[in-house]
Amino acid sequence: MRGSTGHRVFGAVLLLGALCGAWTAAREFRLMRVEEPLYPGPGVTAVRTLSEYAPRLCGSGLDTEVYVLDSGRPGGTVLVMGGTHPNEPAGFVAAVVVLECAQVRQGRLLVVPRANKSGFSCTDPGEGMPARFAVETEHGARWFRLGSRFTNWVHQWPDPLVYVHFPSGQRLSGAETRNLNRAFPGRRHGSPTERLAHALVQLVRAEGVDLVVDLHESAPEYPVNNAVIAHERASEVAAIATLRLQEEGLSFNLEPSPYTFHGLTHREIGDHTEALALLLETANPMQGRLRGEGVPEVVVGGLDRCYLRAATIRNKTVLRVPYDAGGLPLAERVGRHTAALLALLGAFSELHPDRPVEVSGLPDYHALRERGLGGYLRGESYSEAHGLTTTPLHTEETP
Amino acid sequence: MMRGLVLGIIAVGIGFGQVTAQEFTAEQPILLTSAGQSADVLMVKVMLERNKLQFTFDKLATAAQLAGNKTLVLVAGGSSKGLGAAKVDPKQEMERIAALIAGAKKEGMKIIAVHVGGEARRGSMSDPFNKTAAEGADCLVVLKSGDQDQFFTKIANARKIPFYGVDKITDAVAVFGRLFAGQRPQ
Repeated sequence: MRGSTGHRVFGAVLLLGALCGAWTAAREFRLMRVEEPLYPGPGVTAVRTLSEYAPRLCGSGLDTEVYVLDSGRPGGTVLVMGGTHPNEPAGFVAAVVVLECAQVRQGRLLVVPRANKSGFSCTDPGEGMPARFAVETEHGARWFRLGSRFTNWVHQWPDPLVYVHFPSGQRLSGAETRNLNRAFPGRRHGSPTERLAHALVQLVRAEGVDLVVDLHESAPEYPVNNAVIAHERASEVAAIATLRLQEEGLSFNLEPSPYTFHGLTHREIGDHTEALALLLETANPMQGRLRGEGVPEVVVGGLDRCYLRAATIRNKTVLRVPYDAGGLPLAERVGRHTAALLALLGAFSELHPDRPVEVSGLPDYHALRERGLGGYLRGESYSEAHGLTTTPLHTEETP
Repeated sequence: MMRGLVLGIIAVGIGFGQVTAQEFTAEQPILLTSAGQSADVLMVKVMLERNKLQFTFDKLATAAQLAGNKTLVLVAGGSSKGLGAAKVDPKQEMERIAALIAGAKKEGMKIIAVHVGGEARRGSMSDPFNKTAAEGADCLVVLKSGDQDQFFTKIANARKIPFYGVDKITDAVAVFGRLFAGQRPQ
């Protein structure tokens, strides 16, 4: 009898422990759905939703904001996409810096900072990634989510064994069915991720976008890094921009978009629309297989002890980017993106003088390196003082 | 021992001086192509355009296209994406480059090998193309960050051909201007 009571107490304690663990995990899981606040700068003239271009996206969990920065003066239209892969923070934060700092003097910028918003609502299972990271700014700390490369299973499930890309018929592993950058050009009645890709293509067509720049990151050991990847129609813009970046002392490689690898923004938007399509890559030490601890400090500071060690072995050939005790801070990676964007805008305007796009207020690599990322991210106090609107739509709970 | 070392250093110095001081000029029209299918060839294309030089560009140019041209510019550096995009494998690309070099020599054309990809265009993917292009060239234009181990310098010294190392890729614009204007680059 005594033994039985003891078992009951032990069982109750175990059950309570399991419930506490489940509650904590569930709370953390739900907290990922709370969107980081963004503070559109004075250059933002309108905020739309992607579902305005593809109504089937409404209520799918994949609808996302489209920020319009319109000079009111005729010129070209450029679409800047961040967060196509929400586990690549420099691409996302660079798009945020654009919408918070840029003022367009001629032409238009459209900014989609959270292209795959569903991917921001979870992390990659089993990867040990931090859910969030914070950046100190002049207006207080700003927090951002570090999401998943893929659409959340909550919004698209189950994965097929083999993902067959539409329309090419290319076959990839099943999980890639939730990878936005394998889903272009998408389809109206396809999977949620295909519908998202289709909506972005519709946006490009409806707004007559001239140039699409998709901001990404990759592992330091990946061969394509610190690179501009260009669709063949965009190769001249990319070549001039790469030369301009070299003039500024920033090393960038120019890579062609492969003809035979389908689903990527630069390949499919370039093939299926009139826009010139490019993709930028910077090196993210939180992304590769060689990384150590998954902590926010590495996301922001970019210093990982395992990569530091990898940089010194095998005649320093393991990594494809220079890596030392200074790491690869987020500010520098964001600076690479903004510098490359400015160079691309300049090159586009040089080649298309009838459709120039002129932007001011956007910090380049050197400015971000000197003043830090916090110097170019706004905060609530700034928005209140300047009477600016704050997004997102859901801020009921702050982590 | 010390005397031998000093003499060796002087000999190398004289040899290097001869290489860099050697006059090299090239003539238009130019056939511009890649050696390894890296997109660096597009940047060199922009450089030639900025110098208003007369050229034909084909990243997969063959020996049949050499006729009518006076200079072959090979932009060295391998790219797996580029090879994939061009639908050629490294062996086919190497054969194409070798045939172009042989054809250009037969036609009496000047060959300039250019390497502007820096460290990123070195290593096992790129070096076979870099070596073939440099060993077949009459002149090398190289971004110094891609020559930290003197890979190109050694080839230039061994073959006694002019070597123009540039600190920045944009410096190569002026080098091309002077090579084709008949003035030796500084």
